Amino acid sequence: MAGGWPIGSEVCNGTDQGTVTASSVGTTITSSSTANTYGSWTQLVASSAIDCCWLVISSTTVFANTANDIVIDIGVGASGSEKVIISAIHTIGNNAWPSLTRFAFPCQIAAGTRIAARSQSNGTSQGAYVQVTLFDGEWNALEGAEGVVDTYGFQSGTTLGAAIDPGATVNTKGSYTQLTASSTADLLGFMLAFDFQNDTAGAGVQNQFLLDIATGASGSEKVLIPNIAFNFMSDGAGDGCYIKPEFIPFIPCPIPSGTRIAARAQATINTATTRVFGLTFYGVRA
Amino acid sequence: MAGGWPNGPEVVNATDQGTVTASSQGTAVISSSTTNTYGSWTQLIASSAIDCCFVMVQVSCPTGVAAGNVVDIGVGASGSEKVIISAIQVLSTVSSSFVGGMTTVVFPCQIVTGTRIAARSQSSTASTTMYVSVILFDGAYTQGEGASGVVDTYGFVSTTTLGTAIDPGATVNTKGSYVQITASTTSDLAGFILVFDMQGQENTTVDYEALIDIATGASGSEKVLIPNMPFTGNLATGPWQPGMNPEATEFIPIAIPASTRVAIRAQSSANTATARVFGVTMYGVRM
Repeated sequence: MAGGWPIGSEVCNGTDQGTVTASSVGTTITSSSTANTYGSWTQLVASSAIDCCWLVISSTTVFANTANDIVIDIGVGASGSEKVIISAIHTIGNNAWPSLTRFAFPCQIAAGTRIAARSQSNGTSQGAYVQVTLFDGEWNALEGAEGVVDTYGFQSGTTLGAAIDPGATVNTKGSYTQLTASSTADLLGFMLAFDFQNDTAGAGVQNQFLLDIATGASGSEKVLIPNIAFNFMSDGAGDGCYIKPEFIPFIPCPIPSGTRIAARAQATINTATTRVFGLTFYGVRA
Repeated sequence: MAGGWPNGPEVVNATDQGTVTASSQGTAVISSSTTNTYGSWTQLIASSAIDCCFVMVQVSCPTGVAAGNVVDIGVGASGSEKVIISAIQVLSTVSSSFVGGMTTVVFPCQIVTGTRIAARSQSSTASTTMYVSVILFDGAYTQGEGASGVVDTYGFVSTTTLGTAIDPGATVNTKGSYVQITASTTSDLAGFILVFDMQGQENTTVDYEALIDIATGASGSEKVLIPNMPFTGNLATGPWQPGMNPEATEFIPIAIPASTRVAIRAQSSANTATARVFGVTMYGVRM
């Protein structure tokens, strides 16, 4: 056993920002009136209350949002000069009920920082509720990761993730799909988010998937995490669908800068189109 | 800023165990023919392939049943399994025609290579099948020896196979009373995970948004540890709604000393009696 999970990784002082307690939701962030284009920044807090080294972001779609996917950017800095710390947090659109994506990861934000959010959707003027919870490090924690996030696989033109096709043979891994040819920075770990690729009214498809995340050159991929399981369901009536889980939490599995990252999957259903899902990869910089 | 998130917590060598690739799911683990009673242990792997210090447990798919379904993960020889995490909640569907929910939890956990890993389940519906797999991660060479990762489960109500009922109260968007999850934690905790359930409230045509406070301290003197953690409950009419988003939180590395009282309160955008009530189970990861 090379090592263990160190006891020192502790956080404290959980402090939420952007919460609207009067309606039990986060701050409403509305996408642009132009599809697949970011809207304006909306402030979550003018001056953050505590130093932060561990950030939790929750993004909830508004009820009955006509099945449009939404992605959220979180930025810090003065109005008009926001610096994106994580982009394109995907939240699944759904006709029937709200979805919620929740990412928690190491991220340094000094007390007194303005925090804001913006969104884009493959619909127009779609709402999402966004809230962040800041955690400081314990006294015994050393200075740590920067926590800026590099997003891979996001398709700005559709507001969806990279399409992953498990292929026509059920329960057999399909071909790899490249998420990035070369990661731009050393990564401390990563998170994943899934989407339907707009197949929200598919013909009553219930599918179970296993996903491999791999690194390495095309044809020589080495699996980094094998067989991550998730479920997909659409009821065929166009009024609801889900992916469970909608996201995979932060996994502190490092990936060096300059690495090619790819994914492949297998599924229990091989119906063309409906077997295809979307994947966005969020790499947390070391 | 007291400190930061250290660069040290790194994991490697991800290895899945219990996966059945022929059906793209985990190993079938069937609950007892007696409701709300654990079934037998089912082996996921006879001898784990790597040393593990961080584990992802994936539990999916009770279909055609309602209410509570939970899974234990154990290690050790058959007949001598030691539970390392108990009562992982997973949401079901009412109709067997639809796939159910999936609960994915990740947390620090020490399992030495060569260990037998098994799972067992219980459900409020007899002989329910759940599918279970685990992904093991070793620590990087930079890691020191760390947390044991044995998990203490609090709030689980064995007689219903559900979590502790949390009632946000009759006034919308206003915090209800605290509900005790445990009077006294049995060990120092490195952090915890929460899993939500619907308390069997399928088909009530209620959707809501909720905020929960997790607090410690004596009754009447609770101090909020994490404020306003959001989730949604989606109980709309239909046969197929595993309707809590998210179903599980991430591992939150907030330490809680032994002998601490833990309580939770909530507010909700819905105040429909019964339907507004949800369940919480807390999984405290030991130092």
